[in-house]
Amino acid sequence: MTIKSFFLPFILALVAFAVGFLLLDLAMMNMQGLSLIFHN
Amino acid sequence: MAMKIPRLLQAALVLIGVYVGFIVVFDVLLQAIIPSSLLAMYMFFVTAGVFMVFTYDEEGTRELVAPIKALVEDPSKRLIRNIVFVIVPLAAGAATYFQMQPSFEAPVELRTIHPAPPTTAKIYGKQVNLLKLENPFRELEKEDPDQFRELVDEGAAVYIRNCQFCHGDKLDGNGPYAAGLNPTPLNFQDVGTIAQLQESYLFWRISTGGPGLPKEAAPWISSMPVWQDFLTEDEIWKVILYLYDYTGHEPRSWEHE
Amino acid sequence: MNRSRSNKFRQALIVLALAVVTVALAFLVFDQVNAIAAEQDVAAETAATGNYGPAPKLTAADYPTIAGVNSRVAVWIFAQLHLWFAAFVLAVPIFVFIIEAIGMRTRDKRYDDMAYEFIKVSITAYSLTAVLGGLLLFSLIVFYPQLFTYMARIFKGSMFYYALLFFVESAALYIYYYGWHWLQGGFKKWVHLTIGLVLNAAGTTLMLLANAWLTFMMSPAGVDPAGVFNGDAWAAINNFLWNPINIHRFVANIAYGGSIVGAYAAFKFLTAGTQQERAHYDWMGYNANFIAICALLPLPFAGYYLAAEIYAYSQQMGITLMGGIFAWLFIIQAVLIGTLFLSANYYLWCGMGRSDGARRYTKYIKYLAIVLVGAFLVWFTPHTLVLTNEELKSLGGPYHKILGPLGIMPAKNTAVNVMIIFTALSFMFYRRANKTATVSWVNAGNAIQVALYTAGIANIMFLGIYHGYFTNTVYKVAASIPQVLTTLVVIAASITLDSFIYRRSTDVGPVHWGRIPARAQYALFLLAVAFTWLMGLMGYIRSGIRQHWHIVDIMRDTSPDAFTPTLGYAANVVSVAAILFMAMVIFVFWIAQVSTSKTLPAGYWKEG
Repeated sequence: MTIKSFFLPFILALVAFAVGFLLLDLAMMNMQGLSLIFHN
Repeated sequence: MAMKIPRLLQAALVLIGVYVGFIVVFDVLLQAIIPSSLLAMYMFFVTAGVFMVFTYDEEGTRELVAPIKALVEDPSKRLIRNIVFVIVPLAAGAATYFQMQPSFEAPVELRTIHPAPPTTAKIYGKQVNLLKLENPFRELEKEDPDQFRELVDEGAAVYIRNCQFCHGDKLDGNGPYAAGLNPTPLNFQDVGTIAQLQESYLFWRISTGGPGLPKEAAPWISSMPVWQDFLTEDEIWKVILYLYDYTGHEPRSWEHE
Repeated sequence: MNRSRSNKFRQALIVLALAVVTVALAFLVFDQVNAIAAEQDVAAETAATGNYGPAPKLTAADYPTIAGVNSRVAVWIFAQLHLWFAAFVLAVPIFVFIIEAIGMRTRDKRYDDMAYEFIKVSITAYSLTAVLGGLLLFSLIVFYPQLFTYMARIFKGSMFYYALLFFVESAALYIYYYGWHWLQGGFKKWVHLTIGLVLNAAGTTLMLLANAWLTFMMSPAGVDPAGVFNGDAWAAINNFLWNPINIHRFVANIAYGGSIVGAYAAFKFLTAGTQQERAHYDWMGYNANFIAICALLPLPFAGYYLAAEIYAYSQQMGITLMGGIFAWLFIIQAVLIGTLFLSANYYLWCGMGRSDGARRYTKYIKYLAIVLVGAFLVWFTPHTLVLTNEELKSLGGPYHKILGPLGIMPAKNTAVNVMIIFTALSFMFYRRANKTATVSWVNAGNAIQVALYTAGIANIMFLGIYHGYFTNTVYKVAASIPQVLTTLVVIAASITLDSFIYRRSTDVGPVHWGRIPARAQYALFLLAVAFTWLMGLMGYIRSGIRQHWHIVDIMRDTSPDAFTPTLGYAANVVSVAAILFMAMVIFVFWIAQVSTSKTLPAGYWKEG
């Protein structure tokens, strides 16, 4: 029970934060005129 | 009831474990030894960390220090105490003696691998401003890719005829002569070499070679030839194009685009 | 009725007076800038008429000497001592202002008393700052007269107003301190706080002006290559490195000031006579450590930004700084910064014993320590390894396949961001130690916290490893920005989340202020000493990368002492200066203590 009440919020929050941080990375790199993934 | 390892022993075991761990991982598994100077620094701070973990609370500290206190204060431990008080100074003396003994080992050299370039240098008989120097062919990368390709290929030919003996045909510093050189030829594939530098820096290094190294790069035992005596200016720039092209690195740019 | 009207009249007068002072101060500052900018028009003519000459070309004979005095070391030590004290007296008003405001908000007198005690410590330091500034100025004029004349002609405006601004700062400081117990309660308290604001404004402006002069020497602007000034004083002030130094020094001052008052609190704790005193100074030490940590968190990025800007300005200075002769000093810097983090964390862990509920969290301390020490090891791993000949042969070269990549900045930025996050985590555990959450969604809340930290750390590692090793230098440097923002977001979000999780929480018990081992006070001493030594080292480097230039590429330093000393010599000078500073600081602490002691000499004074 406690594992479920921990595990589910954990996974949801993890995905949400991961997406959020990737958006932050994208925004910060774009602001400097660069893309997130480097291609020559 | 499980036997509880005394805290002092726990601390000692952690330290020994970490030390052995470093040696096993680097010397044995990765086949790239960990330098003793670095290991000493690492262990110093691991010890500090262990001290911190074992002494942040009063109870734990008391437990940790108890054996030492007992050894020093407990009257029933007189025999052990006397033995330890004889052995420890002897061990310290022995360690000092062996450290002070002269050895045939050559003294450790501390080289500056990345000496700062001078503002100007005399190359090909003229004073060159290294802060402003740019590769004359670099702009062709975008403007005329076909001609750029040609120049890179010409640079490759110059490299293979002149540079690969030391720096290797894979530009990894593993040329046929590399094993006999100290310092070893630079590995251009490594992310810490040409990827960190501007093209003017490479031009300076290649054209003035070992003898052109500044004071801070002592000892000047580099085997790098003075290429301005053997190659033309254009040839050097083309080799630089090739170095970056082959390794996939980009020269350090003047500013963010 | 009459009294209330005369009260209101008096209040209105005071508001008017304060408004006049503030506006006058604003005018002073802006007018100075305008005057300097207006000089441009005059300057355009004078430059044509040649009122500003080129930078003088000096010989060794142009540098006066005094027998028995090494002029370079003298200026070096005076400048460094002045900097240490200046950093302290600028920082203290910043956090005293904030603490006073917190006290006004919470109506908790402890904050007001602590703020007063901090400002008391800094009063003696203030006069020492001025004395050392005077010493520095005199030694510059005596030993480097042409340099000073050249600088004074360009910066005459800012130097003149700098001197005048000391009147404002002194007035504000003395009224703020001596009037502390007079300006109490209601409206008077707001007046007092405003004076604190004026004090901060004056102090910060002074720092900005002084920063302009030293950054001009590193990245000159408004002069042509021969050193002829074009009359644009604002351009000279707002040179390339001015703002990076401003940001770095502002943040670093706060962290430094916190560590010095922390040392004061530790000193008073160890010499406390009663349990009450011990509790008071324990609380003060905790607050000081908190201030130091708060400012320490964004500081590595401010430092990285400064170094990146130095590199962007001049490849030569940049490489000298971190790739050339000063590189080994940066390893010492890395070691000292790691020491700061470890000391601050150790103090927090020791402090958890103040709460009876700490047991729930102390089991995590060893994991925090493992990560902190691990990150620290990466943080100080040098790129160029010190190898014996055997090791060199075995490795096949001075580069290590695995440890080499740890020697360049992407690994170190990653490591320091991890150290910062885990320090914030230590602090979070400390705050939680005495609380029991009562909200129903505690488990979910904790799950979200874990997810936050996991995602944040993963992002930091992604940015550090991918952009650090698989892209080019532009991307590598650029990725440090989202990296540090991730850290700041994690910290801000976790604090916010925790404030919700612990809404209406119950305390496990009273916080036993004073229940902390003496060891922890030595952690506070270590914090202050390491910080001091670190600042001295960095000050030397900042000045030393100019090498044989007084003003880079404009005015050469041809004095006999212009050589770049060996690392050992430089370290010795910095250490001697640090010891001198420590002695003066102890004097400052002692004076703060002596000022409250009274002796009643029996039979000394006449009767009646």
